[in-house]
Amino acid sequence: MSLLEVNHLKKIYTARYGGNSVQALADVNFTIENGEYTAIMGESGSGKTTLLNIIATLDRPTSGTVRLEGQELSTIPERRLAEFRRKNLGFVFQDFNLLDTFSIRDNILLPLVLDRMDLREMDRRLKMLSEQLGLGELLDHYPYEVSGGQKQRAAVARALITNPRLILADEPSGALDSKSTETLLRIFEGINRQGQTILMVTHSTRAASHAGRVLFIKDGIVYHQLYRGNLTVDQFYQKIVDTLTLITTGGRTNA
Amino acid sequence: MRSFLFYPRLAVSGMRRNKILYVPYLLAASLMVMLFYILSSMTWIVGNSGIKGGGSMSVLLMLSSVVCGLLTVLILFYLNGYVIKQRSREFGLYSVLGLGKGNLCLLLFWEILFSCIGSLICGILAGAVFSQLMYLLLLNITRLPVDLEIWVPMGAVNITVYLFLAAWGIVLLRNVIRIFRSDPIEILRRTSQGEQEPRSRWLIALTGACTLTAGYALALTVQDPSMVLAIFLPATILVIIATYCIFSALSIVVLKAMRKNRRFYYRPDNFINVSGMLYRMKQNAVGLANICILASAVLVTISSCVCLYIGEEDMLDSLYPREVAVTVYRNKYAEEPEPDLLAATQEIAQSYDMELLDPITVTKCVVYVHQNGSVITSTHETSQINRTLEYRLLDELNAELGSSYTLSDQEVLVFHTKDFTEGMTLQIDGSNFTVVTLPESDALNTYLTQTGASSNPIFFFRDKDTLMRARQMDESATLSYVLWFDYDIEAVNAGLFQQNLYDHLNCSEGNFGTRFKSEARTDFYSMYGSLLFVGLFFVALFLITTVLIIYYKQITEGYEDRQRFRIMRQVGLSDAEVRTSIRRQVQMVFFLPIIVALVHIAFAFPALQKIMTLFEMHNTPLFIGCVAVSALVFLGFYTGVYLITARTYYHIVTSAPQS
Repeated sequence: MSLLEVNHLKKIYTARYGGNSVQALADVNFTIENGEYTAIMGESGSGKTTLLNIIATLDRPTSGTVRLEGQELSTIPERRLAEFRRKNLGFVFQDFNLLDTFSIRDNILLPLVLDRMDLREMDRRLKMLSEQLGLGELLDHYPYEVSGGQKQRAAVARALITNPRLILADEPSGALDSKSTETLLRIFEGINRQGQTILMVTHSTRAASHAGRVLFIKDGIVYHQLYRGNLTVDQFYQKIVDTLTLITTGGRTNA
Repeated sequence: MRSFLFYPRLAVSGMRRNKILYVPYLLAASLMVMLFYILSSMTWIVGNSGIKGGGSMSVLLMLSSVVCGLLTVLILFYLNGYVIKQRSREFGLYSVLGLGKGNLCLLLFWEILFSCIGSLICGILAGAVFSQLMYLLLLNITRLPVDLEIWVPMGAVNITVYLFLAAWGIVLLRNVIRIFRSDPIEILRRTSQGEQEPRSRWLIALTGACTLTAGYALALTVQDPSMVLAIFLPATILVIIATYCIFSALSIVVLKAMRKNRRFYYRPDNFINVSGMLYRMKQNAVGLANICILASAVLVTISSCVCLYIGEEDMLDSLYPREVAVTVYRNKYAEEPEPDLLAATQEIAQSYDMELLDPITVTKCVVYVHQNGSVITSTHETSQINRTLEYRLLDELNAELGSSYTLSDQEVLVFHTKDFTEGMTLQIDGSNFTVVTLPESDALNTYLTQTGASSNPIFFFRDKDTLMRARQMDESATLSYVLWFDYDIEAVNAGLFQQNLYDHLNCSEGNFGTRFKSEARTDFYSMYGSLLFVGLFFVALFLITTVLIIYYKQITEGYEDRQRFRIMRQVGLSDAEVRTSIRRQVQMVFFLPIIVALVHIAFAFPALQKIMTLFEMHNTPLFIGCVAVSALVFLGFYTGVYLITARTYYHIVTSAPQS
C-alpha cells in the first residue's frame, strides 16, 4: 500500500455570486511511497497550491479522493481534522509561519504541547532536533531576532517534532537567499535519507533537483514525471530544465 | 486632469471603506457635541428662566460645561489616535501609489471637514431636541415647578461650533504632523515586523505595588471625617499611578513568572493564553489602565450623586431633627447675658396663636484639636488639627433622657467609644479629665439624632463652668445655644410666624440665626438635583469614551490576531480550540480593568462613606446599595458592549487576510 494515493482529484472554485467558476485541478492522479522525496513543479496558477491544501486537509476537493495510509481524508470528521493534521502531517511554508508571540523553542514545541505530551519527552525530541538542525543557541530567541534561514530551520523542526507520516512543504525556499536555500535543501535530503517522506511544491528548479522524483503539473493535471535515479543533483537539474522547456513549448503548440 | 472634487471624493470613499472605524467615531463625536450643547444651552435656559436657585444652578452648569468641553477635546484627540493608527497602512499605500505628503494632508483635511460638519449638525440637532427633555428632567429632579419654554439659545450653538471647530482643528494638526514625520515605506514595512517581547520592568512593578499599598492604606486608615477630604486626593493620585504601573509592568512580571513554571506553562490552554496575554498586555497596558480609571470615576460619580439625591430626606432629618432651629452664638468675649431662648420663642409663638411642639435646647461648642494618644490640645495650626470635637452639657442629656448621670469636674462623659476608652486620661490644655464612657443604647442614639448631632465625638461636661474651662484656650470656639422645635405648618398663622420669627427675637446682628427645614429642603433638592444632573452628563461622557476605547482595542487586536489564527490552524489547532483560547484572552483583557476598578472602589468605600458623612449622609446601607446597583448596571452595560464588539472582532479574525 502506498503512503499517499491521489485519485481523480478535481477542484472547481465557484464565485459565490455569479456563475464564474475556475477549475484549479482537473484530474490529478499519483501515488507516493513511504520514504520518497517528491517535488511537484508547475507555474503560478497551475493548481499546485490547491493540491497541497487538499492533501493538508485545509481544503476539500470537488471530487476524487486522497488517501493517507489507506485512510480517505474526506471521511475524517471536521472536529478530528486538527488532531489529524497535528499527528500525521508536518508543514513547512514559504513565509515560515512562526508565531511571533513564542520563542523559537516554544514555536517548535507548539504541536507537542497541544498534544499534551510529557515534558521530558518534549525535551528529548527538541534536543535531538536542535542538534541535527543546528538550532542550539537560537532556541531562546524570538522569530523577529533571527534570519530567514534560521526561521525556516525552526519551522522544519516544528514540522518534524511530531514524527509525521508526511512533510508538506510549500515553496520552502521561496523567501531564502541562495546560501540558506542550499542549507535547507541539504537538510531535506538528510531527513529524507533517514526515512522521512517529503512532498514539496515549488517552481524552483534548484529545489526540485534535490528531490528523488519530480511531478510536473499543468492546467490541473499531472503532465509528466521524472525520476532522479542515479543522477547527481546537477545532472538532474539539467534534465528538469530540459523537460520544462519541452513542456512550455509543447504547451504552446497545444494551445 | 483631476477635478476639484477628487479629494472630497477620495475622502468620502476612504471613510466609507473604513466604516468599521468611522461609524463609531463619528457617532461618539456627535454624542459629545450633543452633550456639550445640552449642558451649555442649559446654562442659558436656566439662567434666563428666573427659577428659584437658578443663579447658582446656572453657575454649576457653566463650570461643568467648561470641564465637559475640555474633556471632549481630549477624548476626541485620544480616539483620533486609534483611528489614524489603523489607517497608517492605507496612507503608506497611497503614497507608494503617488500621493505626496501635501496631497495626503489635503485628503485628511477633507475627511476632517466632513467629520466636523457632520458631527456638528447631527449633534446640535439632537441636542436641540433633547435639551428640552433634559430641561424637564432637571426641573423634575430638582423638584421645581415645570415652566417649559422652547427655545434654542444661539449663544450655546455658537460656543459649541467654536469649540468643536477648534477641537477638530487640533486633531487635523496632529494628523498632519504625523504624516510629515512618518516615512510611508517604513509604515508599510512596520506592520509586518514582529513585536518585541516585553521586558520585565521590576522598578515600575515595585512602584506599582508600593503606590497601591500606600493609596489603599491612606484610604483605609483615615478615621476622622474632617480629614478625609485632605487625604482623598493624594490617595486617588497614588492609586491612579499604581493602576498604570500594575497594568504596564506588574502584569508582565506575573505572566513571566507563570511562563517560568514549566509544568504550568506547557499545557495547551496556558501555553497559548500566557504568551498571548504577554503581548496583549504590552500593547494595551495604557488603554486598559485608562478604562480602569474611567470605570472607577464613573462608579464613584454616579453612586455618590444618586446616593446624595436619594438620601436627601435622611440628610435633612439628620440636620433638622425639628422644623426650626433657632441659634444664638456667643464667642469668648461676648458680654450679653445668656439668653432664655425657649421662653422668648414661646412668647412670640403665642402672639401668633401658635404652639411650640417638642422643643429641645442644646448648648454646644465645636472645637478643633490635635489628639496624640490621650493628649488633646487645642491648636490654631491647620496642619495640626486631626479631630473635631463637640462639647455639650450633661444636664441637658439628663433632662432629656430622664437619667441621672453624675460627673465630677475632673471627668468627662463620651459615647463615641472607638477612640476613647473608659479610664483614659484626657489632657485638655493642662486640665486633666478622666474619661467615663456610656455604652451605646437606643435612647442615646435617639437623643443624638434628635439634637442634630454630627459624626464628631461628643464630650459631655458636668456643667457650664467645666465646659468653659475645657475650651478656654480656644479663642475661636464659639458657644451656641440651639432651640429645636416643630410647629403646625398647616396653621393659619404659620407663614407669618415663620417670616417674622427672626425680627421678633431681639438679638444683635450676626449672633443669631433661624433655619427652617422646608427652606433647606428646597435648597437641597436644587443643589443635589443639579449635581446629579451634571453627574449624569459626565457619566455619559466617560461611558462613551470607555466604549470607544474598548471597541478600537478589539478591532486593532482583531487585525493582529488574524494572522496568528491562521498559523495555529495550520499547525494543528482546531477552529473550536482557537476560538476558545481567543475568547478567553479577549475576556481577560476586557474584564480585567473592571475587576481592578471594583477592587479600587471596595478599598475606597470607607473613605467615600466618610465623605458622605460630611454631607450629613449617614445612611450606610443606602450608600452600599447605590454603589452595588451602579456597579451592577455598569457591569451589565459593559458586558453588552463586549458582546457587540466581540462579534466585530470574530468577523475580522475569521475573514481572509489582506494580501
